[in-house]
Amino acid sequence: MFAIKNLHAGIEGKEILKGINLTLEAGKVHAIMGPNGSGKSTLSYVLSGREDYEVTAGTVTLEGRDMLGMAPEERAAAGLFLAFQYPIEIPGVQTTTFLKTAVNAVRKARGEPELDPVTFLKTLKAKAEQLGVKDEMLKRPLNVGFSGGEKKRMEILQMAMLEPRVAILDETDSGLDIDALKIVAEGVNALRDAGRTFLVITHYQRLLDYITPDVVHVLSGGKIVKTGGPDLAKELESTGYAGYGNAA
Amino acid sequence: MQPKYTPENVSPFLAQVSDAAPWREAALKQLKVRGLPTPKLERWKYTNIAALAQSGAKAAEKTPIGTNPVALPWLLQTSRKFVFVNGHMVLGDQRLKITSENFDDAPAVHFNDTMLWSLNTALAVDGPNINILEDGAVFEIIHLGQNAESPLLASPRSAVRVATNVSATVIEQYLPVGDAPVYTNHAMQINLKSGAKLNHVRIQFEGANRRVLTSTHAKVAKDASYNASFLNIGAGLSRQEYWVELDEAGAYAAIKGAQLMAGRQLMDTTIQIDHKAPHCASNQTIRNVLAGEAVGVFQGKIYVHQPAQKTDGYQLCNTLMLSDRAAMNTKPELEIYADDVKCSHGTTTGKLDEAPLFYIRSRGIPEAEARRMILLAFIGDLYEAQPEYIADALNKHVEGWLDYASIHA
Ligand SMILES: Nc1ncnc2c1ncn2[C@@H]1O[C@H](COP(=O)(O)OP(=O)(O)OP(=O)(O)O)[C@@H](O)[C@H]1O
Ligand SMILES: [Mg+2]
Repeated sequence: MFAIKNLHAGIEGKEILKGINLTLEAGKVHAIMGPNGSGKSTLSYVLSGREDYEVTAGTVTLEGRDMLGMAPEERAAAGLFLAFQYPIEIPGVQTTTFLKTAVNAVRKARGEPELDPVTFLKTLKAKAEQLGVKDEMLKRPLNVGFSGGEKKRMEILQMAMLEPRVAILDETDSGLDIDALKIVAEGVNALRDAGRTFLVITHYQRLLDYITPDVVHVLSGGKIVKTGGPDLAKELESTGYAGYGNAA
Repeated sequence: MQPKYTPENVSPFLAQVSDAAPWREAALKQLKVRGLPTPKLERWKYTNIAALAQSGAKAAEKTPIGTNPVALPWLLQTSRKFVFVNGHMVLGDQRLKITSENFDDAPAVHFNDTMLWSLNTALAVDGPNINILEDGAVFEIIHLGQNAESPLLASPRSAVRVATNVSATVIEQYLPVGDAPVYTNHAMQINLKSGAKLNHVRIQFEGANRRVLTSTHAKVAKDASYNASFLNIGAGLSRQEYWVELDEAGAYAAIKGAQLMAGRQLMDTTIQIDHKAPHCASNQTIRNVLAGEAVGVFQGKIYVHQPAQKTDGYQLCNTLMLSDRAAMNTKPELEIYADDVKCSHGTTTGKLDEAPLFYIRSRGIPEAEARRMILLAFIGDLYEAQPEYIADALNKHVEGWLDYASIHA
């Protein structure tokens, strides 16, 4: 279980998250929707440990373990993964090399042996193919010169390789064409299982047509202002956020 | 106002000139008027070598090589090899030695403040005089300093000529052997005939007590290209100067390299590229990484003479500061007397970017490894065009430095 309690956080003295409470059970998909600037990306950064954000109150635990005291890499080893809204380009580091370093770093931290290069490459090739990531892309420096859609697919490929327990997808659907959206959704669905939790941040119902959420939350003004079932997302599609008072 | 030139600071060395060979005359004359460079000279503002004048250093005498030359870190088995010990050539083909007949002292004429070159001319005793006629030839020069209890001044001298349409490689390494207080003042004369290509690689990883001064003067003829790559990671103080003259149409020069410094090191790369003929191109690509209280200097000048129409001059210097206590001085300069030219220069100085660092760490990669990745990438593409055996050696040194700097940053 991934539990966020009364989380307050901000940046440069400005409070952005104003008391978030979320309980994500293993095996479930939660969606977060909300107006621009309501704090969705901030939440994803704070959960994964970006150092320029300051947590002023609250707790975050994964299976009872405190996450907020951990460095970003420790959180990754504990099973947290963030698919970035804006993936960062890493010039000079070949994608394959990067993925191998990441996978083995996480395995090492978990006390597992490193993957031998042959097994690693086989796994990578299979998962890349599933997500329509071309071989040629794996040879290029990570994300450098990738199109918006290619970057998003690469995020999902990284997720598939790291096999997290909690995956936060921050607007992974933006920038994807319709075919890519289906492929990415299939990739996510393939990873759905009883031990894994997804937190899917999106603006559009379309993604949720492919990845059916168990729970939908509305984040507005740094707070969860409404929680409901899959129908809530459909309702928002027609009504918008009017009436949910963006206090930001 | 204090005088620009201080001839008295060179007198102790002038007393040590070994013979009155005629080819030393012009250099001695210059030194008697100017002395050694001081920070009062514009091009010596950031690097103070006063310690050399005050050190009481003695011109190094010839000593036999103290190590097994086979065990030295040569990059290529089949290369032709030269070893300098304290500035004397102790290993190498004796037929390829500098003599008073073949001595070439060109640069004193055109470039400013060439006193270190002149000091070398005054004191140099020997060195290789390499005439490359064979396409694909590789020459390696290793500089060693050893057996010095009191400060020594080593004055290695070398000359490289590459024949028409011949491609060649010269690899220089400055190695640490012990940590004796040796000043090395190397002067290197390079002449490229038309269509010749030279890949000139320099790896300097001297000990912290060393001071390494190098002056490299290259003359590049029609359609010839001079490609210099360097990696500086050692020596307490180093100043490397490249003076390149693109003498005829189609000549090309590229100087690419990294200065990686930590502790209290000072590293200075000072370049002047003279475009003297039309349709020549030059490229200066410099990367600096500073940790600790290091001081870095890059001065790069593109000088376009009046006949040099259609010049393409490029210069970029990127610096990464790993510490708030370090300081980087950069001075790009353009001096242009032709009207149809394309010249660009740029400098960036910044800290390690937090966004990629967080991104990499969020994938489970520990902070130290993440930093290493970013730093490697910052330097990485400099040596991309090198053949594998050279790129491997350079990258091995870069990685070694990163391990060191992550502890000493
Ligand atoms: N470094 C910062 N300094 C000041 N304010 C910031 C900083 N970073 C984010 N904010 C502010 O925090 C608020 C929340 O931003 P956040 O990126 O979390 O929104 P979001 O819900 O993800 O929006 P979107 O739907 O557009 O992606 C915004 O008002 C934003 O301007
Ligand atoms: Mg966002």
